[in-house]
Amino acid sequence: MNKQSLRSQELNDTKAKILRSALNLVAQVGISKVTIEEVATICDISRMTIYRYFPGGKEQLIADVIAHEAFNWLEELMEYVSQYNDFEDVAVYGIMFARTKLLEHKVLNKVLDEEPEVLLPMLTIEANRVIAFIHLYVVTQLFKVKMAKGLDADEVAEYLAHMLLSVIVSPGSWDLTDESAVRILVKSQFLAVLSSVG
Amino acid sequence: MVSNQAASTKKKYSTNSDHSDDALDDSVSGDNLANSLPNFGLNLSFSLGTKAVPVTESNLEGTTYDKITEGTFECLAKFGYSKTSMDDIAKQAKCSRATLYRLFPNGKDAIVTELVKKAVTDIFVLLKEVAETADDLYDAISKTMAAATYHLNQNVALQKVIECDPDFILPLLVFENMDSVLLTISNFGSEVFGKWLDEDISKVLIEWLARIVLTYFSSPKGQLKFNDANAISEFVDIFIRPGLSEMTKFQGIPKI
Repeated sequence: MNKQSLRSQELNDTKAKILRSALNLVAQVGISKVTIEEVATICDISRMTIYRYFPGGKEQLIADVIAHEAFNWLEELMEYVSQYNDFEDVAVYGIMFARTKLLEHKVLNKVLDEEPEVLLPMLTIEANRVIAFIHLYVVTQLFKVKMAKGLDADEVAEYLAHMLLSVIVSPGSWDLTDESAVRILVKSQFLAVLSSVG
Repeated sequence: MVSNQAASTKKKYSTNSDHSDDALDDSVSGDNLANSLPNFGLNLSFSLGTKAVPVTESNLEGTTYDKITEGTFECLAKFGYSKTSMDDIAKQAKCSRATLYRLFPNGKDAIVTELVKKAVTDIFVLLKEVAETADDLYDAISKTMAAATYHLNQNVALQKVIECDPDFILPLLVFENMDSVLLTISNFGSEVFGKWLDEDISKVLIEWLARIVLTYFSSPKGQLKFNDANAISEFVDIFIRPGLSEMTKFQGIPKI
């Protein structure tokens, strides 16, 4: 490892440590009561160091914690679905896995209960990035499936990305723990479009 | 498999909405719908579950009441949500602050709650009418989607609040809040599509359509998506038609 990459490794470690500590602190006291000072104390670093990584202060730190958690969620999801080849299976098991992970996220659920007015607006911003990510992923998946002529892959991916996130976050009347129900949902509302004659 | 889904769907309805059964038994009318509206959960100060004052105190009260809700609508359209004060509302409604607070002791949240109930009721009455004039099921789907989108886009108060206070309105369309919205809407499925589909599929269908309309509506690029009737019926042909015939494979053969 050369000097340059050692240095960037150190940077990443510190940043990761700050993000982790901030998340833990949010779990204890909620978003509103998090202070940069407290995070600095927990990490045993100076406030200035935190501001070097998060020039926008607390607001940026919290936004980055959320972005980081969303990224971890997606990364885990991608790894999980990579075991399936069939796009229908990817969708069915992906939805179920993503929903389970969402419900298991203790900090998310605690903050949703206690400070929805603080968290929800931030999540709406994050949601657009997640949709963009899923959109891209779906486009790569669509290369693998047979799609009816005349369909616009990008339009289909946009639809699927919106629908997937919507269903995972708010299943409505669908029971996402029931595999056969999820399969009906996926076959009808998600994948039937692929055989549509445009 | 089929009954499994139907059962779990029913179970969810019954656990999530106390009034859904009453609402289902009657045709769409203001009171039934208002009562069946979800309490928008979480801890938002804005909750649909609490009703400030019965509308029907007397005719006179009713008039003042209407003036207040109409005045509030005007204020929201002008100033958005956070910048509208009770004073603004009193001025716009041409009533005294005393009257205003007597009818709405809980302040503007309670008035806005009433406004939302009224707007939702209006939309459902409209959707039912629109579906009744449709040529066939797919025409009904396109027309109801178009009508719902048009209604959302034409609501000047809603548009202004989205513009000025996105933090207030967008969170109402995620997590449990969105679940409540979807479950409420699904209960009106057979009101709108019962002519062509059995009850279970009607519910699933209207929930699907509502999800699409609201999801696109609340995403930044999406609002342009359903801006004309042609775009909508094209969307219905590509995305809904094949999905709906797939769906009917699982739940008996409906009257399509």
